[in-house]
Amino acid sequence: MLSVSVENVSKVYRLGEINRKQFFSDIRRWTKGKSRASHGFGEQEPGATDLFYALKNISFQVEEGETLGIIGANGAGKSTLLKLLSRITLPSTGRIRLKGRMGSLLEVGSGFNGDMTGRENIYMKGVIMGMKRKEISAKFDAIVAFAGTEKFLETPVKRYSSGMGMRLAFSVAAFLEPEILIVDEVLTVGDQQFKDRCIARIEDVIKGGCTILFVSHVGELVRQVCRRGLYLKSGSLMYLGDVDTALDKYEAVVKAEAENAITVHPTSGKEY
Amino acid sequence: MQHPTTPEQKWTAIVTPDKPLFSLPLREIWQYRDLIYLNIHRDLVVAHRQTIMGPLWYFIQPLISTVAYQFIFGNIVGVPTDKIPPFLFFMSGILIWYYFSTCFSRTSTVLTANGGLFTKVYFPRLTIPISQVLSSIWQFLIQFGIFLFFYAFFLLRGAPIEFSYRIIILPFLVLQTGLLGLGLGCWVASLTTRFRDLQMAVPPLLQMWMYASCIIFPLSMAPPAIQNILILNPMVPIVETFRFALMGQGQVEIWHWLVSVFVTLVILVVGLISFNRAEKTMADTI
Repeated sequence: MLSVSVENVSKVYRLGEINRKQFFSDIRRWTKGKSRASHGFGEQEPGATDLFYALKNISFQVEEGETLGIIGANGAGKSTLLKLLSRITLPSTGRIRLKGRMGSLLEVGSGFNGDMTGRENIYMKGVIMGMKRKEISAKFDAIVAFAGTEKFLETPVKRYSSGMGMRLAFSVAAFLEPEILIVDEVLTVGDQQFKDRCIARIEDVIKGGCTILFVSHVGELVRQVCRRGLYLKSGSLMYLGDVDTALDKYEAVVKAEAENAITVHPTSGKEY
Repeated sequence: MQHPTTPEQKWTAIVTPDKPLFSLPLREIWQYRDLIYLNIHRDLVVAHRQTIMGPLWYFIQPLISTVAYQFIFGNIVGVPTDKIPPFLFFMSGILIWYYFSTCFSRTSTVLTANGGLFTKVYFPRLTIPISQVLSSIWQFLIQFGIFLFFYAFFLLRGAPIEFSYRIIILPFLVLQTGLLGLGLGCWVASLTTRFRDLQMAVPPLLQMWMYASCIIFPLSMAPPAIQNILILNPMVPIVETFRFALMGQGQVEIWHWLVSVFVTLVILVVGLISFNRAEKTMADTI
């Protein structure tokens, strides 16, 4: 059974600022009766210079219980892909289908309110991610023990150290028990001990039959967690298959590019 | 890629570039009811963290305005109040207006104020404006309690006000005001995701709107020509009916209220459509 299916998905962004100029060009488009600026990017006529394709015609499928590592350099479209999969923004073309509850460890610190206590934030974060209050109560002790913040439960989160806050946020997400789990660079939070605990937790989740989409720059981690790999480069899917092959291809490209000197492109020369 | 799709394949979410023009994901919102509950709880409790007076502020704020208005517009300017004791006249107007303006201003900033959250996690966005309106209703009910205290006081002292069956209309007025604030707030919120101009315009417009909403003078005081314009403001019939239902004084025509209900519904539908459209790309334009 499939867990994720992505078909011909592209995501287009418009470059530049949204301001008065933008407003008038929207109006011009509108009055000309052309297709409306339905995506907030204006029309997507091919070749338009102010458009940026963050993802170009991506298709892939993930089986239930599979672990897929998504790799690529900065700006390859990994985060955009995750945003689309976690339904934060809609694709410009194509279709994404998902089966089951989706949990994401995307920038876990969000959704915390500094004025609220650790306890309140655990509940708040949990319901934002789609849990019920009852579920959270049932897992509460485990979440707190995992984060190791027992002493600070009744203290406003704004007085937490940054590592403590992140740990607490990660713990809530780690106990969501989703059917699809998206993990994005979260393992950079916390110290080595917490990192190990996180990886152990992710491995537990994998054993439980959860589908994992894992994004990391650290090749070792990807190899450790994932069996399949998806390699993105400038918005295009370069390779999908065995994780070792995907990483090899990625690393080969990185090496080749490192040998090229940085080229400076002349800009319009406008000073800020 | 070559996985055969088994016939029993079931999807829980299908994401495509297009969304229907008008959609109310009521079932999804219901699934997230705990989020609404906790949001209301947060609005009501956390707002008073690190204060000494705590929830007493709910009472102090409208009382200060009422006393000030009574002094300025009642005692100095001498606005007639349709035989209603000025204190009750001003307080009732202030309460319903406060309620409307909190509903409106809170919902109008949801998309920009929660931008950080909206770009990180998916949940039905409409849950946030809904919880804002519900917590405003709760706040209104608390404040209405203190109003009833003064109301009883004036009633017992034999002021020319009448307690009658008409108060059954109050829940409808409260609901209508909430929906008006929700619709308008959603509309402004969705426009501000792209252009922030409205954020600048809302506070002064809201103040002007208050002057045009019969909070500090009764509709009967305005010249007939202006009355006809004023009733197009959906808040005017609400405020006038609110006072009439409570105190049995003033003038209320049923068609004024019907116009206001109609305007409210139109604004609500436009607001929800606009919010729905903005929701799709909000994470990219915020």
